[in-house]
Amino acid sequence: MSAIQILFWFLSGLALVSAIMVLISKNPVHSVLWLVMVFFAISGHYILMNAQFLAIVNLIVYAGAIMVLFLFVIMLMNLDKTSDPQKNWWMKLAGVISGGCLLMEMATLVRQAAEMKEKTVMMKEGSIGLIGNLGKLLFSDYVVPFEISSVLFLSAMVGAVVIGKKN
Amino acid sequence: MVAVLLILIPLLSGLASFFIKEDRTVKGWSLFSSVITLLAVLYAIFNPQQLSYDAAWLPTLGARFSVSLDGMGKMLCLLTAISLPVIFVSTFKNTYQKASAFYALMLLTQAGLMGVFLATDILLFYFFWELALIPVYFLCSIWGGEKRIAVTFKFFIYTFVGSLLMLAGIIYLYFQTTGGSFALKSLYALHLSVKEQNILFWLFFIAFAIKMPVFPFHTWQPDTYEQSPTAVTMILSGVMVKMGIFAVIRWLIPIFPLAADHFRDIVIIISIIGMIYASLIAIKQDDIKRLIAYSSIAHIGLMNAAIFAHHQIGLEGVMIQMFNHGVNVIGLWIVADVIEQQLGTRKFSQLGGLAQKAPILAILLVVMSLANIALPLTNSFVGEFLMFNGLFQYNAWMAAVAGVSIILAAVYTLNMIQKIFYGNTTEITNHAKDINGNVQLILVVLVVVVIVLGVYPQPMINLTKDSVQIFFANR
Amino acid sequence: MNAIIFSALAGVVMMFSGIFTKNTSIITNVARVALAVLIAVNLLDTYGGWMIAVDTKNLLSFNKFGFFFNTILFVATFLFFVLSGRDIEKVGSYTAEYYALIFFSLCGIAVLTSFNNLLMMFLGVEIMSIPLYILTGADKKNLKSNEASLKYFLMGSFSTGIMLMGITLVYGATGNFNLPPISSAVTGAVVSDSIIGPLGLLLIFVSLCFKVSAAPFHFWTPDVYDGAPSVFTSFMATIIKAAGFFAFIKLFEERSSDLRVSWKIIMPVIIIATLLAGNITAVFQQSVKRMLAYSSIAQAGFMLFVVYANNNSIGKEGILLYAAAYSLATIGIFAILIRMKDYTFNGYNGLAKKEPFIAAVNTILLLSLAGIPLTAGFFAKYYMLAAAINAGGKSVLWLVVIAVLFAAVSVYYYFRVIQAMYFKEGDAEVENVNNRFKFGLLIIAALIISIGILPSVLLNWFYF
Repeated sequence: MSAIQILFWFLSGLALVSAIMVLISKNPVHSVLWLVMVFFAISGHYILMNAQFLAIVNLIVYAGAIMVLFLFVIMLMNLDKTSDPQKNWWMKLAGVISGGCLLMEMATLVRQAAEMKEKTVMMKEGSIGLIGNLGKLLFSDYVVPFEISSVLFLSAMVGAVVIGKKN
Repeated sequence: MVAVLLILIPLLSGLASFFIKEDRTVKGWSLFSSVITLLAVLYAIFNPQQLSYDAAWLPTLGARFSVSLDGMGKMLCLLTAISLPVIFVSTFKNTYQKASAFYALMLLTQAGLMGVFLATDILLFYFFWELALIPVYFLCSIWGGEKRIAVTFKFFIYTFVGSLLMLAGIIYLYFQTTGGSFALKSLYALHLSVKEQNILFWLFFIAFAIKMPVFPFHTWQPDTYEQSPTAVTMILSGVMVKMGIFAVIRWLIPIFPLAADHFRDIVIIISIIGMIYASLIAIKQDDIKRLIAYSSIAHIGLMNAAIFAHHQIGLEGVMIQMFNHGVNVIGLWIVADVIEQQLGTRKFSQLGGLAQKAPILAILLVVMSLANIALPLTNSFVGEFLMFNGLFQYNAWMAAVAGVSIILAAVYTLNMIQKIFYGNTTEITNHAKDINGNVQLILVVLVVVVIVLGVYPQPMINLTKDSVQIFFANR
Repeated sequence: MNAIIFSALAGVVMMFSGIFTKNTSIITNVARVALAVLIAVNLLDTYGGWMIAVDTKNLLSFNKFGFFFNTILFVATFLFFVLSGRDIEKVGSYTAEYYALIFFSLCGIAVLTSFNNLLMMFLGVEIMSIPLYILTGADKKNLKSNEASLKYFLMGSFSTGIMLMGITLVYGATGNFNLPPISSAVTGAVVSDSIIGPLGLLLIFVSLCFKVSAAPFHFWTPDVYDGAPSVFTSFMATIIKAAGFFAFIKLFEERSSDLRVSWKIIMPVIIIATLLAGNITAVFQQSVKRMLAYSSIAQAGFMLFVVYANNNSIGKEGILLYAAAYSLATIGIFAILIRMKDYTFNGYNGLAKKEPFIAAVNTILLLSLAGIPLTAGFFAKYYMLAAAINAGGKSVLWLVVIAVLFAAVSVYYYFRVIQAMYFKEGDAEVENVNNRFKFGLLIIAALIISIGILPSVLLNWFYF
């Protein structure tokens, strides 16, 4: 087993265990921290695939920004055990069904793994995920969507001002 | 070009009426316009040239603005054109709030009706079919009786459902024609499979059956007739129900001949059930308007049965009877309106002895009523005789059962006359006066028409001969 | 490309106009002028007069259909500005920003009418939607508006997530984002004949259904439309919805065959569910505004016919007509509704006596929505049904019959307003009726009727 494979299995295990911990920990703050752990593990996977940019962005945006926001919200809401909402039976059933659907979808994908065995991921040798290459692509082939997405952000900013400012 | 004028005159004068402020002016204006339309129709009948007009309308769809007058069209346009001035004159004394809107909508209704009878493009036909409905909806809902809003709405929804079903059928037919066309000719040339015909037949027939109305689809009719202002009821029962009959003859049977054969028995039987049923209910009525309404259902049922019996004599009878029924029923409504306007009630039980107070009215009404029963020498006799003849040749039993309705008609009509005109006067009828000059004139004219056509119906038969021939040629 | 660039620029201009003046009516007029310029440059683009050429690397593809759709929606927005400009000013203290957001939304629409790539579709949908989340919550003091905004945002993000998932799966199946699928042999796609591609398309389909509020993804619609400030509801229910349909058509014109048989099963189910949910619930409403929200679902059910009958010219002409007819009528009805004192049906009682002109226009617009001949709505519905029958023949006749029955149901609730206005006694109150408002309504009514008599006027322009 090469070092890469060992790393892959380690990261996968870490991601799964952390994800389960997110679900079963009673304290919401712990849940969030475990979630951060999940993101770290996934970022590790990205690095294995030579997608450094994605790995960094994942860390900065999800683990960094969004999770901190989550923590703020949870602390502000001051959740304690008494306010833990009781989930009824139907809700659980609905959860099981929708989760089951997802599982089925995953199973379908895995079932076809045989035909994509050779091209599953480009470990190490792929260079498209490197920041330089990504940047070049973004400013040549994909320059139009790149520019247009600025309108998206502009409108989000305007919106934030409209919503946030006091009258 | 005359054909286009028949639509344009009422349409434009109707739109103009909206802007006339003075009540008297608008009455005069609409009377004037309707008389002009009548003259145009008469011109069209006596000058058999240039009776069709055709122009591009929606080139991308293949729909054309094509109108044409055949015998049946002429006859029904004549009925429409006569009824409007008759209605205007006989209700000249009635006052309406917002009179300009009332008369405008009446004229727009006329334009829609003319369009229905003239159109030879089925999309155009559908257009006018709906256009005739919208002004009537407003007329009834604004100027009608107490329960007008709910009742009229029921009427509207019924007919709208029917016409939408027809629209689905029209679209389907469109894609069956070569190159996509709505023209009457290309629809006649279609060769649809039996299965297609059987489905499409009902889509169209329900629309027409609601309009006529035939038995299970009739429930809107008595309420609407009762609640509408009488002028509108006259249009509704005198002319508008003929739209359904007309459409069956012009569009339904020639396009779906196989389906018409297939469902012939069912349609005739429901028509006959409707006749008997409506006559029985009419006997129980205490309200003049409702009585006429139910009697009208019975008469229409007979016409429908005679069409589907598919016999030349029967169809000739239908042609004559369409006109006659229009004349008779308008006459009856005028009397009902006179009584209601003067005495404020329509209940037989509150009336009585009116013959002493209003002898002229009594005489005229009796003639009208006899026509309603189809007594010999009146116009209806000829029509009903021919229709029964046609029905008899198809199936004697059906004709026999249908014949019961004639007896029932005599029962309820004579009962009405007896209760209104004879017996002792009541408090209400004590101070009744005879009818005024306008109404007298109109009723006399109608009575003359009734008797003339009863004695000498040949002109009507000649007029509509070509339509009858086309109907049978298309098999 | 003109439309995309100029709408974004107009948004920026509007943003800054708030700095230079506090006079809201000046801002409104600036917005009207900017929109007029936008319409003009889009027309220039349509007829090849002058255009900004940008190499989009085949990510965007411009054609007449898209340009024409732009024009219709921009003109509708223009009328919306003319009629309801004053009401936008009244929503809150950020008039300039509201206009800016509307222009950004239009930019998203311009992207949506020309996308040739799933990536651009995603961007277009998002640019169109994000401003709406904010506009929905523009009435900050109103709790209902806040709730609507949050609900819209959460649901919208959800559907975005689903769309992204779908795009990812499609990418996985075909190896590229392009709309006309390049055969997998050329691109060396990973999986050529698997369930992944159709599954991805299905997810995109679901999220687009959400955007156009087709059942069973319509539950957000009534609450959001009801809670949002009425002016913005008017914008959302018309222009945005029509644009959503355009994306629908454009995507599935190329790709519906990928869904194989399931397409002929899914679409009728969705159509019937949408018609049912919209029409039946609309019948029970007491508030005209809520009724219009449900009616917009019902109308979406009709527009879905064009998606069902994809790739035929009748459908394309039809959706243009429908977009025009439906948007114009709804904008007009909303413009009147906004100025009514009472939003319930009873609030309209006796309007005909007090404001005969407004009542008459409102009647024409309602008749158009109901699809009565002589109004644009009739031909809109006609084309939808014709497109379906053209595509499916006898086998869809039952679907068409169901649709027309629901159209008859819709008459019930549209006519309740007419009944209230004409046949019932009451003192309906309309505020701020001036001549400009009446003139705007007159134009809308005239457009509706002229399209209703001669729809070819509009459609010939399309072929011109």
